[in-house]
Amino acid sequence: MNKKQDKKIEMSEKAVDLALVKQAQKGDMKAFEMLVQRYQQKVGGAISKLIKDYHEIQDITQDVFVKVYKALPNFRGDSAFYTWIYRIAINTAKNHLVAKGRRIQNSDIEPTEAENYSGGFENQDFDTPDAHYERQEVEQVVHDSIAQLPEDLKQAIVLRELEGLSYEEIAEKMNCPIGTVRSRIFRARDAVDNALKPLRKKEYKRTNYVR
Amino acid sequence: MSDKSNEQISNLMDGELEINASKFLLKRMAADKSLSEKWESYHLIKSCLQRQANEPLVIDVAAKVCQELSQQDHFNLNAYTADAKRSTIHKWLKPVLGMGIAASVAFMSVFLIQNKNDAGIITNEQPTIALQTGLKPLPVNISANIVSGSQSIVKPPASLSRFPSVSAKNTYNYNQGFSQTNTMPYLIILNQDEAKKQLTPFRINNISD
Repeated sequence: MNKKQDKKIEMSEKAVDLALVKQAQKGDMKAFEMLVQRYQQKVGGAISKLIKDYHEIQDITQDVFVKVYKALPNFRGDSAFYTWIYRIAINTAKNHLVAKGRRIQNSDIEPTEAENYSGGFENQDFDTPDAHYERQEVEQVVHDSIAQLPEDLKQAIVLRELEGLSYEEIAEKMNCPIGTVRSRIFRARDAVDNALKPLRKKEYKRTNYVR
Repeated sequence: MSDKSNEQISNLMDGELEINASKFLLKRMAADKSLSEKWESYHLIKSCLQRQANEPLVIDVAAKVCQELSQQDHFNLNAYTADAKRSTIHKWLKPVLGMGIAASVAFMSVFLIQNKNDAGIITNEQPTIALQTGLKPLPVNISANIVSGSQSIVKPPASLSRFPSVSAKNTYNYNQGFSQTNTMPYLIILNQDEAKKQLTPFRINNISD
């Protein structure tokens, strides 16, 4: 596939969010679940700048998304969806701290800065040993399977997820068509997903969530 | 579930899938559990890779949130959406409605005043009391009363005394006999006895009780 054929108009990440929001606004719970899956880590990460206890982070993240769902009719798409939920997340975390009578630290972090901000909680244990072990196991599997990938797949997924490059930029860097980049990134993800399957089955049995 | 669908999900989450295909895939994902599980899994991988060292890995929040929302039976997003739309409409409807009411009240006031004035306006076609003195004829709606047997009193229309400017163009020129302040309630035009001597009798057309 040559580059000209690939020059179609893609739905940007922001547009994907907006499409999911519109579906959720119509009452589509599945679309909202997909939005939560997309942003739970980012929201949890932002909350962890203010709160260090893992269970509290998990609970507040949950509260944030319940609030987000209830406030969805007010979202008009003027700002990015993540910027909007980030504000809700920080306010919820601050209110939680106030309710608990704790001091609020670092309350003025912008969404863009939040990802690189440590919050002074380096080397803190966020959770119980069991929960920590489970998450560590998931992460270990992900990193191990990435390490075992063929070099071209590994390079493509690392450039995308860690460097944050677009497919076009990756294609230039790897000197290959965009279609190849698409395929490489997908194959890398699929390989890691296959490695995670046994863990996921174990997790579903343990938590017994209704899905 | 084909590899093509999975590849499309991978492209979609990176914002690299063509618009029509994206819309179609989003609809399919809402209905197809295996596709949405793939979406979740790919995002979990993303989270693991992008997570900062000082952040905890947050997983399974989505399932808990959906469980909590489904337990809140009273909560209905459609109702909230309808309320939000209604309140949005109210935001711009309120001032427009206020202005509309104000305009209606103003219009009605002007209309009523105009009607009231029209009742007192003197037109050329109206019957007149014609004097032979060469003076301008008096309008009929100026009531002429005999007071104490010797004086004829002419009352100007109410519209002239209350709103002199409103009906000025169609009215008889009362300024001839009025004082400077324009507040004179009665105008004595003539002494009946003298009138009999100096003037020929009135010619009265269509004067009513």
